[in-house]
Amino acid sequence: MKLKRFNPHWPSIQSSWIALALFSLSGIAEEAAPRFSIPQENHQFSFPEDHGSHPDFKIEWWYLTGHLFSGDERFGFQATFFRLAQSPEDIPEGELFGNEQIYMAHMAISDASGKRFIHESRFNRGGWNAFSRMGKLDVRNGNWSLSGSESEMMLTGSIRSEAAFSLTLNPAKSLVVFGENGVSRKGAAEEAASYYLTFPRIDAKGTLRISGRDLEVKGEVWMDHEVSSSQLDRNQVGWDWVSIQLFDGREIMGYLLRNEDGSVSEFSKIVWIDEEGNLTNQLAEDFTWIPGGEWESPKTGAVYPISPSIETTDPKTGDKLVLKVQPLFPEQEMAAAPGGVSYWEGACDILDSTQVLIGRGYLELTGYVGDLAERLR
Amino acid sequence: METPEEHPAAVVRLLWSRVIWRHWRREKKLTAILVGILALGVAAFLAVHLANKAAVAGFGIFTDSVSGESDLLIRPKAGDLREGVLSEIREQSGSLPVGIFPVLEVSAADQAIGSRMMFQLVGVDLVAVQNAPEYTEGTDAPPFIDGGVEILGRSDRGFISETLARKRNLEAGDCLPIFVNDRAVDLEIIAILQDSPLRPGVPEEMILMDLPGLQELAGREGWISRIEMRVSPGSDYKRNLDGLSTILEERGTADYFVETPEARKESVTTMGSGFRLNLTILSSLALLVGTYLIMQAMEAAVIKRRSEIAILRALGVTPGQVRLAWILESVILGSIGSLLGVVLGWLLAGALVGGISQTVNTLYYRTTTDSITLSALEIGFSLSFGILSCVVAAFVPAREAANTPPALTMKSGSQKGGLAMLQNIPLGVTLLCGAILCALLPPYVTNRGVNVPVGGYVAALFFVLGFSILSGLLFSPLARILQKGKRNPLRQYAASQFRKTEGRHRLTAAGLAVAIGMSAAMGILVASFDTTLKSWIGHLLKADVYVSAPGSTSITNESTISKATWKAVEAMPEVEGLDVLRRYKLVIDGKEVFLGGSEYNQNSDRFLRLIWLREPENDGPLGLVEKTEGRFPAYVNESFFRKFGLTKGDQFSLPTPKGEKPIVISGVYADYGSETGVVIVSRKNTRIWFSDDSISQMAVYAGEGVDHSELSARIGQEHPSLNARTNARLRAESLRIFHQTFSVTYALEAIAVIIAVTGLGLALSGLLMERAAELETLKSLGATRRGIATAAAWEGAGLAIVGLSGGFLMSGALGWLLIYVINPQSFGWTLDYAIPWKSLAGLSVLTITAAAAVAYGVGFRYAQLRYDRVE
Repeated sequence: MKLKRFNPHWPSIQSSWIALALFSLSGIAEEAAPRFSIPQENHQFSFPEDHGSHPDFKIEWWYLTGHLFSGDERFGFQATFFRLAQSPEDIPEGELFGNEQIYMAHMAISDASGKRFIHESRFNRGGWNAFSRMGKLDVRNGNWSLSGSESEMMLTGSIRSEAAFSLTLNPAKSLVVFGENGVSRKGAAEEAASYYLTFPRIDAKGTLRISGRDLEVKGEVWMDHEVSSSQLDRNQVGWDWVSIQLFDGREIMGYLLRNEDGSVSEFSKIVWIDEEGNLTNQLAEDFTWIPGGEWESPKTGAVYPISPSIETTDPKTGDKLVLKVQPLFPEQEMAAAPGGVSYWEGACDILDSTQVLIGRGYLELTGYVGDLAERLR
Repeated sequence: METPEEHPAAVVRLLWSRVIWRHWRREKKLTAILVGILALGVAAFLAVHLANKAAVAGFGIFTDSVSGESDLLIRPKAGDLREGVLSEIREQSGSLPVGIFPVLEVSAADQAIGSRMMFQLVGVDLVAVQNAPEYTEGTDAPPFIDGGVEILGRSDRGFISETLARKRNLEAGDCLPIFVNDRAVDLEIIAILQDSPLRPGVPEEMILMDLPGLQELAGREGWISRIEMRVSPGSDYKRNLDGLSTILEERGTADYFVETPEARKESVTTMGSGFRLNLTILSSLALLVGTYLIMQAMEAAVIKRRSEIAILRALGVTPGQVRLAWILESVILGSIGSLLGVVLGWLLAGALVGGISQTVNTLYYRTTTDSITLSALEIGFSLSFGILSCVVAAFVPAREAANTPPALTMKSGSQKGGLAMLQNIPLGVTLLCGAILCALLPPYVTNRGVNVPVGGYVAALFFVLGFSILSGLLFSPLARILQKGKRNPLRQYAASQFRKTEGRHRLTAAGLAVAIGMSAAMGILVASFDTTLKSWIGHLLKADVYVSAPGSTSITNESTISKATWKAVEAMPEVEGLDVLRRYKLVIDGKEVFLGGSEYNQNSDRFLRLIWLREPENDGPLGLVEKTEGRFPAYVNESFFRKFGLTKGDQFSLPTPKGEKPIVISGVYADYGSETGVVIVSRKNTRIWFSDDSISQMAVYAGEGVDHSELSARIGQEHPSLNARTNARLRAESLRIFHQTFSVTYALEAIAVIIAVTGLGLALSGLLMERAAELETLKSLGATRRGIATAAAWEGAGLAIVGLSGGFLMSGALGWLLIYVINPQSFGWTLDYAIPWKSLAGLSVLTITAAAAVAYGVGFRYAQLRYDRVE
């Protein structure tokens, strides 16, 4: 089993040797996995501590996607902070060049009106330039940072010298915890599980500088914080993942795990979040994920199904429902440098079967170019 | 019949075929010599330029290769930077998209026996450096590094260059034994840094390691050498770079300063600029000698074709057309000569670059030698320079040939010609006076703080021209001397040529005087240097064994000897006591200086005694220990005194990791080991300021009856990483290194003398040809062929004597200028004036003999030609 397949959110495996080396280590670490903690059922979460880092777990990320508006202009953005442990300890106090934790991060902006997609990724070792503090939300990677409390967070990001943003984030809905008894299970093995905490709807406002213009922006953001030490099944080749914020005040998180033989993994799932934050799980047999709208990347040659439709049942009404995912524009591929892993991650509109706009979402498609499973082993 | 005025093209064709081409065919050797002189002149000039460029370019590669080209560099004002500065800078730069790449550089020596190779261990954060391509537009990516996380934090693993791997037949997994400071380390090679045509090659001596691993290996935990900062590319690049510069400027600290890589490169290469400028000037003078000689050669060519010119003029060819033909000839000859010169220069540069690099490494900064590259611009410049020199040289004789009436031109024997200027004695005197005045001018200080002795260089040119003119005055007394004694008709005949000399003799003598003057002046400089150094080294090196950290030949070597090691040497029973020194790099007012922390032997009255220019009140072993009125006493070297204008009793602030320290200068000493300013304080202070108990070198005083060679060998055996040398060996090595720095000078001198002697032969050939009718008369009066040749030899020797005398007078003046004006102004060194009598005597004998021999040969040849067959 491979750790990196564990989570469908694994987006930012960029070009360089170190990423591959890390994954190599993950493979080596299979026997050593017990050294790291494993999510336990009925764990009593304690905040703000659990918004902070959990270095005894092997992998952890803070993952934000959102939709920002300034007048008539619309932008999608992605900001991810990963922590990849090399050993189950935090770096020693005062250490500037730690070897225990590696931090990876990824930023992207989708400019809907200009149909322009810009992105950047980076790696840093734990220390002076990258860290995730224990006990509170305080994560940094170079000049990118995320910090704050449950009621207000600050996100600062940039994409080279092309774009920069600074956002104040106020959760409009309470935190939800996915999974049974606080554990989100992704596979049959005991360790194939995570703590999966999400703020499904956050009000965002702040500034965005892009193309030499300073814009006041506001919008809505989705934020995941996931902690685990485990891996996915060997026979899986990739995943499709979506987060949806419906205009009626509800949200949906769903992922489709794709097996080597083309079948859908039984661990695929859709979760509905109602206006009060109550969760409804729909398992693989309860929904159909229909690929659609193939787009071929001119950079990598990968063919991505960027406009899937999800056929399911609305838990509120019991009616059949089609959620059609419509990207703002196709060119939202995180094309990696030579030797890296590329994937598609983009801002989308959500339409119903009558083509009426009912919400907004973010779609992630991995394993469509190169041998992802092999690369991640 | 068509007149020449009606068909100028036809006339030029006629001139080409009848005058130029025919002459070249008949006088193949003369033409070849002419082309050869020009080629040598151009080659000397170009070679020095190319070799200089290659030696300096090597520096650029070293600074650029870690993170690609950085936007800003942060460097410590003293010693190393605290690594805590990284967090501060990240905090200060806020949300700006800035890549911050810390670098630690450590010298290491090769363990291989007999190898003098120094490695440069470069520590970078191997994780963060992978982000560098995000800060690069296009293909300017840093070396691709392959490996794995298992290399992180490792102090025993590194990446080596492709060149080193190839030369040593090394591959991943092999071990490279090196000395880091005084530790022997077997460094495991993780992988080879592959070169790519898209970026500068990885320097052979560079070994890349993970930064914390290198910190541990070198015992420099918590310290870094510099920070490279890169602003992400994009539409806001300029805005972000400006923002970053402003932030860093506003929050400037006492610890470090910020500069652009361009400024850094400039400030480093500035250190050797005086040396390089001197070389360039010297090489230009070689070309000047060449120009004199080309002028002679062209004149000789004109003389040979006087009768043809006269006939053509009689046929109606205009003076303008004759001039045009001559200019055309000079352009063609100039082109061929310059082209050959470019090729020769390129080959010669390969030979010179080693010497220049060695000098630059020894005295200024570490450089790797780049390959010799020749740009289209340089080719174009050299060709234009060569062709222009040739045209300028041909202009005067061409004008003379064109303007002389046909009847007069037909008449042989006119010894006019040469430069009219050379007969202008008042001009010569004025030039010498002007030279003396210029020499008194202070140096011009560039905005980079480099002293350029402009007055000195102008004075040199004036001396050269002035003595060229005045050397002609020596013909008359020479003629008188030659006529004295037993009356020898052949000698008398030779003397008669000097009684009333006109342009041609004077031009020949002037050309020779310039070549001899320059060579002898350089000889005086080298001799003065040699004498001064021997006396300095003799005075300075009084200890019995000298021990330094591995690879100490380069001034940038930062290897150290740990306290445990040097204390162990001190405790050896054969050792009476030590002088120890720890050297640090500092930046004061933007200028790099060395700080020495010294501690002198107190076990006997033997300790390092400097040569004082301004003697301190207490120059004993404890002279630097006690504070003076709250200030730390310091000795400074002569370069420091000249660069900062500070002398005994003056005060200044010294940047250290523990803040600025108040210093008072208690003495100024002579130092020929470094052009860089040096400040010496007590090591008791530096060990506190830099939290460091290691040393860079030590001088060991042996006890009574101890064999120094055995002691040196024993230290080497017990501490294999250390360089232990006896006093005698160190003296020999020091002199060898200093002589090496003059290797380029020797090559240039040799070129000048070869050009001069060749030119002499050429000039004599012209003179004798002009006197063909006279020779015929002499023959009819009974003079034998051998007799005529002997007369020519007397004349050649006489010319050589005038040239030598003028040249020696010139060299005396130039030597004075080099030693008392140019050297102190550009290097800050005062030398004792010494004249290399033996070498000068040798040069005189060689030149007179060569001149007489060449003249004899030329005379012998012309004596057999009939007057009417002289071409």
